[in-house]
Amino acid sequence: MSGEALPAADILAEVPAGRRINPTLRRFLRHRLATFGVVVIVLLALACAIGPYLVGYGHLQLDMRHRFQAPFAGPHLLGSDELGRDQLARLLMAGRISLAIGLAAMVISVVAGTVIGVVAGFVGGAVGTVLMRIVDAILCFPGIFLLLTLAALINPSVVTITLIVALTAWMDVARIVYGQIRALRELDFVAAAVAAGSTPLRIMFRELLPNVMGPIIVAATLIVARAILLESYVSYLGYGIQPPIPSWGNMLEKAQQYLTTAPWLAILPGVMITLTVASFNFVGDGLRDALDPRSDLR
Amino acid sequence: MARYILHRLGQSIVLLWLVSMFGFFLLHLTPGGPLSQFANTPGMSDEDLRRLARQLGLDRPLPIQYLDWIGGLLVGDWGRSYRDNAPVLTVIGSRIGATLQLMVTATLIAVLVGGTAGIVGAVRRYSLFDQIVTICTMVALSIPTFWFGLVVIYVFSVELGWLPPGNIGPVGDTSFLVFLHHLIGPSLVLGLVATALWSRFMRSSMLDVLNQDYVRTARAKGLPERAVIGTHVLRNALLPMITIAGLELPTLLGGALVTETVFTWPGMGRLFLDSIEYRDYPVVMGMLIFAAILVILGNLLADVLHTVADPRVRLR
Repeated sequence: MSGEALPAADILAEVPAGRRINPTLRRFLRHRLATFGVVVIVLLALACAIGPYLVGYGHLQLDMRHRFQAPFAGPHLLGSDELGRDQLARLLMAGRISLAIGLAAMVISVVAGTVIGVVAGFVGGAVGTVLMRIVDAILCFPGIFLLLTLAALINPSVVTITLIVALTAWMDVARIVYGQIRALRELDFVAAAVAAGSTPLRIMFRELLPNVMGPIIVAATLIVARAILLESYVSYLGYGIQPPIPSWGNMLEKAQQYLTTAPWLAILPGVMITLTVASFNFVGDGLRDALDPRSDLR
Repeated sequence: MARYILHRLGQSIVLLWLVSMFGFFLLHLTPGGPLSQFANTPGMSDEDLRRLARQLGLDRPLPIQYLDWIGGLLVGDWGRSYRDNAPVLTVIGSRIGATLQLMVTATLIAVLVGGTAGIVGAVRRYSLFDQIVTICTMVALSIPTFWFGLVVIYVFSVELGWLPPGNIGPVGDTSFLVFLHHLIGPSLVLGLVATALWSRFMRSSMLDVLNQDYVRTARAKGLPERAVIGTHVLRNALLPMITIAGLELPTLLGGALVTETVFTWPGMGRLFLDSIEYRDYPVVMGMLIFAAILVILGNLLADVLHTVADPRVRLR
């Protein structure tokens, strides 16, 4: 992973002190795909927030005279579905749901994973081993199997789907945090904190945790991507968000029947999912490089 | 060597036990429970339900039920399906073949296409080819499998008419060519994510080796580049890929579930969804455990193979 190392002095000498931008930001912006990802996510979030008020059709509004209208061929800009509902309005409302679930599931799983990882890593011993073995055990189930089982048994709603997605996503964070904390715990500043009389709680969350924020932020971004993807899987299979609430996944559930006659119903929601998930993945990748100071030496 | 394998075997057994506990209590503690299917049947009185619970042993305390169930698992009695009263292992056994066919074909595609892309990408690092492959990899990992399936059906079946839209083949016609023809679509779809993962891991594994001192030595002593890459780099870079193959199993299994739904392929994924639909608890439980066992076995096998192939791992 090493390349030609630039002497640090050269880098510093080239840029006048006043115009030196934050090196993390600079590394991130250098990553063109990540910048692209941020732009797409911001535009998408804006469109989903404001768009539904501008479309002119409600996402539940039926228009029986314009059923199965193709995109750009009538009053509905991106076409309409089997009930004449406006595809654009539905895509934007679905975006609200899918983005909200992705973000909420990310917050829950990151908090849960971090707490468990920090405690397991810092306390160690039997507690740590048991916690991490539980993580290993849950990781043995293919995520979709677990997700579907729970979604099918519990009454699906936006809240329960978010919780279930979070339940299948926190383990990776726990593993990452655990590994980092284990390594950090042996360092001198922890010994210093102990000597200064800090409580274990303070050492865990005020001394150790800030040092692990980089990997956590990267994992969090990637979890948003995965959560949106997972939500679309369960919704497509009929156990996720239930109609009439639109989500990108459940818009595709019906689309398969009309694949020959109205392919746009299947194409567009999938494009939205791919675009959103890819953007978050790009950003995560860029953050990984940006937050790692060593990447300047590559 | 033997000690290492025994150690890993012990770990796997502990893991398996935890997996069984987690799966069992998760399923039995979620609202609804095994009786929910019967509760929905019209004309079922509370009295009937209680009798049924007693018959199926569901009125006993959970820990007792767990012990009973895990005891059965150990001797190969995985319970009986609520649907047709067939033993769970028989039900799973009748479906696993179709899923394995998909998984093996998808893995072959992934190793050939993804592996090659990763090798070339690493050798020509930062070239146009490398950058395109990197972007394609990221996009491939972001595409929902089921939607890619729909697109493949739309393009190759509906528009071009090259591939059949679903099913394993017309009833009665079991010729190999027809079967292959039906296998292409789902394998491509399932192979997409696997290909992306292989190309990504192969690339980074190659890069790790390319930076080793012995590669510089090989070049310094004047070996042709072909020999350096082919013998010194590639063979060493392939070793960690054994572990990757094991790690990829859960992704592949999950992907198979979705792919089979889109293409109505009669494998384990289809069975799982049908069983969930019917709330066929014994089969759902059995399949969860079965999937977990496959994953644990896959990882164990990969680790052991890696140890056999690479003596350095044994020193850890």
